[in-house]
Amino acid sequence: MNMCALSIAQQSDWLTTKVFGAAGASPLARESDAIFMWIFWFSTFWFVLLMGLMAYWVIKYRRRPGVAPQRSAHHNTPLELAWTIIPSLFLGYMFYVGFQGYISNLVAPTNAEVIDVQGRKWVWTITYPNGANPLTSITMGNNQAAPEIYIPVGRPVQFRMTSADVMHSFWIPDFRFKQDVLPNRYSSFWIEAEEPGEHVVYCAEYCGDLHSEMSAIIRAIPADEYDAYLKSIEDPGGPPEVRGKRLVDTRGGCAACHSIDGTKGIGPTWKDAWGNPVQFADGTSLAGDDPDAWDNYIRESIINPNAKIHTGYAPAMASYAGAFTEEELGFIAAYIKSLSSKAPAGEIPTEQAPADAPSN
Amino acid sequence: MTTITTPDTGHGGHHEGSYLTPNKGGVFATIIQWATTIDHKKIGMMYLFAVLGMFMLGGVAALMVRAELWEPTRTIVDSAGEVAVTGQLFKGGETAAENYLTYNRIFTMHGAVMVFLVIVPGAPATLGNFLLPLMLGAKDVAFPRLNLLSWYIYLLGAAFAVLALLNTGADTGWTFYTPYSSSHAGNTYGNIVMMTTAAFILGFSSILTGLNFIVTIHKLRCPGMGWFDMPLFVWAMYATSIIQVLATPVIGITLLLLIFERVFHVGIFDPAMGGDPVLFQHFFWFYSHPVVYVMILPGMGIATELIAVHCRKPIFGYRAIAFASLGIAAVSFLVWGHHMFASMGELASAVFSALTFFVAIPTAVKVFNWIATLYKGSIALNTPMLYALSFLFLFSIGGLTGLPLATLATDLHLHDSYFVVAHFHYVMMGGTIIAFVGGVHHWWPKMTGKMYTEWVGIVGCLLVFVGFNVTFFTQFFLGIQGMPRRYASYVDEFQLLHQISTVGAFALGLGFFIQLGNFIHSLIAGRKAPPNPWGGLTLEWYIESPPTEHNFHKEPILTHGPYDYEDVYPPHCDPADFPLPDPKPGGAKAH
Amino acid sequence: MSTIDTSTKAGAPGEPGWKRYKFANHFRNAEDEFDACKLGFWLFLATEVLLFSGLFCAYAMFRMKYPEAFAAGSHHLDVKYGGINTLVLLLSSFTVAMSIRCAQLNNQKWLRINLIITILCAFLFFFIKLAFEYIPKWSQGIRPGILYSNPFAGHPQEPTWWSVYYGATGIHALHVLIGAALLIWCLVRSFRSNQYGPTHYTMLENAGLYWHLVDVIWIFLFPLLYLIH
Repeated sequence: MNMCALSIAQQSDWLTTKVFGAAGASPLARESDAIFMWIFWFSTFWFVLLMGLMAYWVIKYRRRPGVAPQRSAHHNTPLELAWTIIPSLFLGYMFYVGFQGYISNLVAPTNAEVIDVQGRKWVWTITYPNGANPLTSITMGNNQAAPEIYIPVGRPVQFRMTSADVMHSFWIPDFRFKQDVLPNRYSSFWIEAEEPGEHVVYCAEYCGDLHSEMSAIIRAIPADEYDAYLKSIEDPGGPPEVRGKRLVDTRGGCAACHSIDGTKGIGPTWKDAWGNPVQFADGTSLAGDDPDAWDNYIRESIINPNAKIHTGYAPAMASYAGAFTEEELGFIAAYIKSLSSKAPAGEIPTEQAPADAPSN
Repeated sequence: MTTITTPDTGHGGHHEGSYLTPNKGGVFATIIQWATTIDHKKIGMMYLFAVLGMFMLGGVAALMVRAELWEPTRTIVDSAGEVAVTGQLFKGGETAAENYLTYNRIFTMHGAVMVFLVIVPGAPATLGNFLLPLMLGAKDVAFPRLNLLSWYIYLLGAAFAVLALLNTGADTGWTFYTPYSSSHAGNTYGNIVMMTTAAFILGFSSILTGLNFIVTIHKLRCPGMGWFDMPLFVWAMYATSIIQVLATPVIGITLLLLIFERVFHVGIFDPAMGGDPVLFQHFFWFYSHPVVYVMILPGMGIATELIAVHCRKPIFGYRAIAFASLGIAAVSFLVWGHHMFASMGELASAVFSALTFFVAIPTAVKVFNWIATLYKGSIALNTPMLYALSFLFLFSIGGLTGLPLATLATDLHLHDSYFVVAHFHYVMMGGTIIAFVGGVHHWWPKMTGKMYTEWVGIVGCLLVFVGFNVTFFTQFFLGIQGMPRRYASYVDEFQLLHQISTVGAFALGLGFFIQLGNFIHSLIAGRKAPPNPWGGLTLEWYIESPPTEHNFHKEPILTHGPYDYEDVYPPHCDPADFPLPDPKPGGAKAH
Repeated sequence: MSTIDTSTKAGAPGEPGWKRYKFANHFRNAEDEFDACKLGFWLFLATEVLLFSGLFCAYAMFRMKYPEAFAAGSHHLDVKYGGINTLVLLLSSFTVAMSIRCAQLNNQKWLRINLIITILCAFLFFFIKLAFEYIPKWSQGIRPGILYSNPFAGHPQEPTWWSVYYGATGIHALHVLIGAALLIWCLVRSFRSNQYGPTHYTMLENAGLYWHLVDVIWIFLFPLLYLIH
């Protein structure tokens, strides 16, 4: 931003805050606001000028019976050239500052903390540089769980994003930036929080039923706390069903569609699912009394969800192939099993992974 | 030069019935006559009623969307531990998600109906069909039977769209973005195919109309009418038609590939099979951005006519406006990428951002010219002129709010937010629809031979203007503050602005309802319209209201420009009502 | 009814159709009508070119993305059949131009012979396409997208190449059939009432233009699909 635009923008700080609800959370965000306010004043100038002239002339030259219009020039080349060229120069400048601001948001400093973001209907899955997923989430919107993303204050953070299914868009209004999250390619941008605080993330690209519930919350915390936090979530361990539950809640985001309290969602509920017969849309069925078949069904439903469709449900789920190791799939099956009253009491279910998994 | 050799209203000549005269064979014969007509006026009127019907359908969907957004949607857990969802208007489903699905279908219906069935065909197919031959002094468009064919293609497309909607509808948004549309959306598999088929079919209608108009303008101008003697509405239709012909085939192939993708899974757009969803966006916007100008250019043309007639002034900078129309048409093909700043690379974004600013220039030139035309005029503040002034106001806001969207740094915040929603409603509705409704008021006496009640028209216009601004100006703030578009639920802090917007939407709806009532009243009990109620100089005002089947009794010969209001008394008017300024010193020609 | 008097139907016996033809009365004269029809038809051809341009874009993009898959896929195409079809279309383009020339010279016999050759070429093209390319490939499982079931794919993305191939040639083949239908209609009208002659041959001219377009599209498709590996 050059000085002229900035000084205008500073004078309108009060207005900026009113218009945007709150000041931008980083220097880049505030620069974007300043560009916006500069365009705002530029537009206001022209708008008031044009509408003022319009109103003035409409009143001054309103029709009076018997009064003729007056002659005036039908065109005026210097005037027309002037009002073509002068705004064009401003527009050129607008493009220039816009491009500068955009590039600064995209190109992350080399020391940036890279956080992987995966969009999936309708959750954001976060993976920290150490491979851990956040363990906590809050409820936002209607009743959707929004993962808590902790980021360090004063350290640049780059989001490297991709989608597992349809297009999403990762928008952090407080940082005034977004990028679409696309299947089969990466997109990225970076932010740097100046002080502790929380910032909402929305999905801004329409992605289906729960589009408006797909959110996350970014919590900026002091850098040393952040480092400690990363350590703490590295591998908390625990029995298989506990680890399964953690995977389901964090990396999986399964609760968007599968309830654990028996209510019907976009997918079938998991409560009392394991061990009960299932009818499939293609006419086949799964007998309830074969534990191995049920474990295989769970595994297949995660890796290749559309292979067997539960009657009464749409084939809406995207594959999780590659998202979990075989060991982790076993934990998830254990968790689902633990939600069923059919699970044998006291048995810790699939301690070993399915036969075709690596021995680990 | 003020003598005119265009025909009179048939006084003394043989009396022909107006084109609206019912067939002597009775109601059934009249219906057959209309259904098989190749008269551009009848086809234009049939389009007008179809488009108005679709506008009501889309409008009801819009009000439903606004009503749903009255409350943010909250999950309440009461003391007994019961979970309830409040604030949902659409409660048919078992879960919140299913209710959101209903919402998604309704906003898709609003968008698809308004874009493909109302705004794109709106002005060209109704006013364009009716007026183009009249303004050119022709008997009909170049290919009358093709014109009838495009009307039936439109009907077929509309039937597909309505069928898809009745069959629960599609939930892709009107943009049909892949891979959501190709492999994820919808429990009811066939709807999206049906909806895309509808858009595909409607494309043909659009192409044929555009092709017809281009040839008509080239070949059927009356003697004496050079290119720069054409009314600017005709110039606008010319630019519109070029875009229709050159852009629509691309959406044709795109939708065809999308249908293949959905039905056969050919893997062109589906990333799961190595396809490229961004390719779809490129194809889609290569059509859909130029089509934005198919929507707005006729609106600009209508506004130009309205301002000239009701100010009694020659349009300031005629050639600048004519060339600006063509310039907009040309640049419109180069800026599609600005819909995709969030999904393209840096280089492409920079190029498209720069090109986008080029569109701003001819658009700004037009606004300056319109305002300059008011200078020293004799401005009648009647319903059509109020619409034209509303158009200037709203379109200016729409255009200026395009600037932060073209600027990359700010767009990446505002993209896909309510700011965009407000922006394109200011352009599409505040621009196109307002100008279109103004145009319908302006030419209503010519089309139907009836006058509407003036004060009701003014009240309706003011209500529309205020309602519109209340609805959409608030949405700018919603967007800036972080409200994404296509959301069925939102956080509580946005509730106040959403409620203001909803109130405005219903006021807007009421305004249109009043206008509709005014039209219906005028058809039943309106005063008979004189041939030239506004003192217009373009050729359609030389003939009867409503015109006869053959438009002109003999081929007109043009002897004055379309806007020579300073030198020519309007036909069929009392010169005392429309006095001329003193002759120019030296008697020089005004142009 | 309104302004048009189509007046092409039967009339004075003995008079050929092209002499009886009266231009529509919203035009000033026959030349204006002919020019208008031709301008309209050129615009229509422009839309056709743009329709195919989408397919060419898709081709270019996927070729850049998966060059090996395209090389693997195009090896399955036999230049022999593509070449024969190219010659067939080139010949038919010549004969359709000749039939228009015959109309201008009022040589009704050769007008029909040329038209018949053109139509036969159209069906020959379609037959070769179907019998030697589509059917054998389809039955080997070489199909577009998810339908692909040939076990010997040269590249994981080969189905995408076949999607482009079937899409482009399929839509082109559809145009061949539409063109043939137009030409058959012209032939019928020529047999019925000598519809085309020196002063009136608008429909034949436009059908011919359409046929040239079909040819030109193939001239682009042939090297892109068959010759470049």
